[in-house]
Amino acid sequence: LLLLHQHRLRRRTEYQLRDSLQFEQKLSKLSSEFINLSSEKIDAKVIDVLAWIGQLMQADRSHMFRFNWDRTEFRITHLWEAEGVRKDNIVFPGLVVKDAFPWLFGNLVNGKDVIVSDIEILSSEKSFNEYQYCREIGIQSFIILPIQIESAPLCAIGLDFIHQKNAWPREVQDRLRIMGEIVANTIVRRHAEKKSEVAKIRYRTVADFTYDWEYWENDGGTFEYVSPSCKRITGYTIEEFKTTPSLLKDIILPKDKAIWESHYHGSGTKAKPSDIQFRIKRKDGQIRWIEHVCQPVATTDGGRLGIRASNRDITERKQAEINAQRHREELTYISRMTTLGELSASMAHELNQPLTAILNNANAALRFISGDLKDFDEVNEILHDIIKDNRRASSIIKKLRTLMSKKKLEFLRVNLNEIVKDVVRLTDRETANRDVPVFLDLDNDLPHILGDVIHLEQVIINLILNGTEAMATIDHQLRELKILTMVHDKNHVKVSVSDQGTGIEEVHMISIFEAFYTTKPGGLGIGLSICRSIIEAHGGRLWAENNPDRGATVSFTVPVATGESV
Amino acid sequence: MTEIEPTVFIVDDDESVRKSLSRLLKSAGNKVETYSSAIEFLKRNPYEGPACLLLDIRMPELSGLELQEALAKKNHTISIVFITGHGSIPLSVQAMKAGAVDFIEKPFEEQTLLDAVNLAIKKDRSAKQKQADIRKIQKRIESLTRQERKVFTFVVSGLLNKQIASELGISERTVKAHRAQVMRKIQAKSLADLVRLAEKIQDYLSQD
Repeated sequence: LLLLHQHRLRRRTEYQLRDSLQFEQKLSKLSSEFINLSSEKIDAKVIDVLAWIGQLMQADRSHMFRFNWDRTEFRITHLWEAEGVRKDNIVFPGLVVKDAFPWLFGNLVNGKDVIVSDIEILSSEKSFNEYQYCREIGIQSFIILPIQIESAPLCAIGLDFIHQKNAWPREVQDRLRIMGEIVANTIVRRHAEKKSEVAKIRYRTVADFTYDWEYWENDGGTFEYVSPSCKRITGYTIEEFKTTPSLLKDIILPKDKAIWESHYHGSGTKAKPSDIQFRIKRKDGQIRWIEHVCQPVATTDGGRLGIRASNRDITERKQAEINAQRHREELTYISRMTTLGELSASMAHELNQPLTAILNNANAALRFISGDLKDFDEVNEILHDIIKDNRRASSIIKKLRTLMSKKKLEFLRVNLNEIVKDVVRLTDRETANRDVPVFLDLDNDLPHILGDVIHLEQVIINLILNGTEAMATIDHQLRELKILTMVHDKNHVKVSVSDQGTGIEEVHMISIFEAFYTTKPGGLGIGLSICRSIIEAHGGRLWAENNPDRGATVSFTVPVATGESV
Repeated sequence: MTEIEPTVFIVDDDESVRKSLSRLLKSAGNKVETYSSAIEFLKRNPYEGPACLLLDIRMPELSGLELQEALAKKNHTISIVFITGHGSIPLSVQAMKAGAVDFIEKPFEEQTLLDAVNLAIKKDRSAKQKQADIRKIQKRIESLTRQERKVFTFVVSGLLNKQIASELGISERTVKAHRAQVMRKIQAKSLADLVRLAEKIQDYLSQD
């Protein structure tokens, strides 16, 4: 018996030695296999390992767990079961929550190994849930070792015995732990790889499926990335852009190339994003408007990795803008023509003055050189006056032609007082006709502004005519139009035109600035709306208010010319 | 009797026009005075001699029409020729109704201006002459005594000496003496002459 015992003991030692060797070999083999394993094969391999270790330990079931980051639940990620173990014995193939097994959770989460050689030791109250569960599915004995790998969720490896109890010797625990660590490492790595793969796909999707044409240009001028939208917008493929880095510049219309050239592409990393608009000629010859926004790519350590840019096809928006602008210009022009029509009597008078003087002077001159008079000094003076009046007439015609011309806004340094005076002269006859005296209160120290003379004149003419008309039904004695210029604030000057008329009814206060809104019979209803858009184009504001006593005041502000502050 | 020289007064706010008008009229032999505003002209004393006021219908502050009105109020008689711009027909009509001699539209031919000015001076002369005459007769009438004036009134109404004597309760002889005195003071050569002078100042008398 002793011999038998010794024999057994020796055999056991031999077995243990062989086993230990086998285990070491398997371990090193597994380690290298796992390292080279592609992520999609890991799961199968993990189950192989679980099978191997389960068989080695003669267990009925082996499994890997992974906790969530809160450690309130865990999930069986991989499972191996020995033949004959009924799979439906497992009641929780998936999620296990903390509340179901508080004792088990408490131990694992605190890094304590759970080693149960006989489930009867669980029969106390604190582990009663676990005890009942094991009894229900017939587990006799089990071990679960928590495995914490840095910056990874808590994992665990475990073995179950269904048909027998097991003492779980130290050696088994150690081997299990080593296997667990290898597997957990692999799973974690796989997890990270998967995460980066997902991120890669996500970023690629974000970039590739952007409606705009995106690119990332290296500082060398080549493209790191070009989004497929380039084809939709330009007709050229990604490949064409990558092989010809100058392609983008090449397809910009020659007129707009300067915009591109002057666009800041410097070498800094702190440049603000800037945007420009230019036209390109598509591969099929179509012209498209592009809005280009770009900014340097800055690395976390302050380096620079080229430029990221986004190009948007804004052709439609641009077309609408151009149409709206043209429309506005047409309206401005129509409004001006209407105003000029109203001023025709004044204009004719303005022109008649020098013509009358010229005719009189010429007739006088004829008399001075003929007959007995022969006053050549006088004739000399007359001729000079004729020249002067001729110039006066031409300047009026020139003014009229300018007012009738269809020019775009042209901003020059001007003094609003001069414009007011000119306009008052121009509307002089009109206001006199309507028996409206005009009083000027001009600030002599008014700073210059940047403005378009014709358009500003148009605004003031309109305001004067409106104010004059507003007093048509008012007693002649009360009629009075006051034009005031003053410094409004540090950066603006103000012009106000006040009448003593009927005022503006509250209900019209807002609508009078809308296009085609009019309270005048026969009015076009574009005057004030044009005035406002002209003033807004100057960067100013135009508004109306009723005077405390009677009548209304329409005022506008325009910014002071830069380089001149009040 | 030498007449005070006719003068053209120009009131126009536009310096060029004013100066050219002045020249042209001077070259045509007129005496000219210029004013740049209606108010300035109003400060001037009424001109005794034949005159023409050449007036721009539209001017700042006081317009031509307003000046016309102001002169009328002051009983300042002067023939006005308005200078109008294009399209001021309604104003011109108003001016004519208020007694203007003419209006000329800018720009105008020399002859149009000179004709208008000459006509205005002519009218002004006769108007002033008439005024002077009336004033003269008025003075003579004022020199009559109460009784003489009564006799004068009855005589021009066609009453006979006898009837006058009865009306006044005096002798026919006394009426005759008064009548001779009236004829002398009024400087009438005949009864017809006396009646004509009386007609001239009929308005004055009726006002009296």
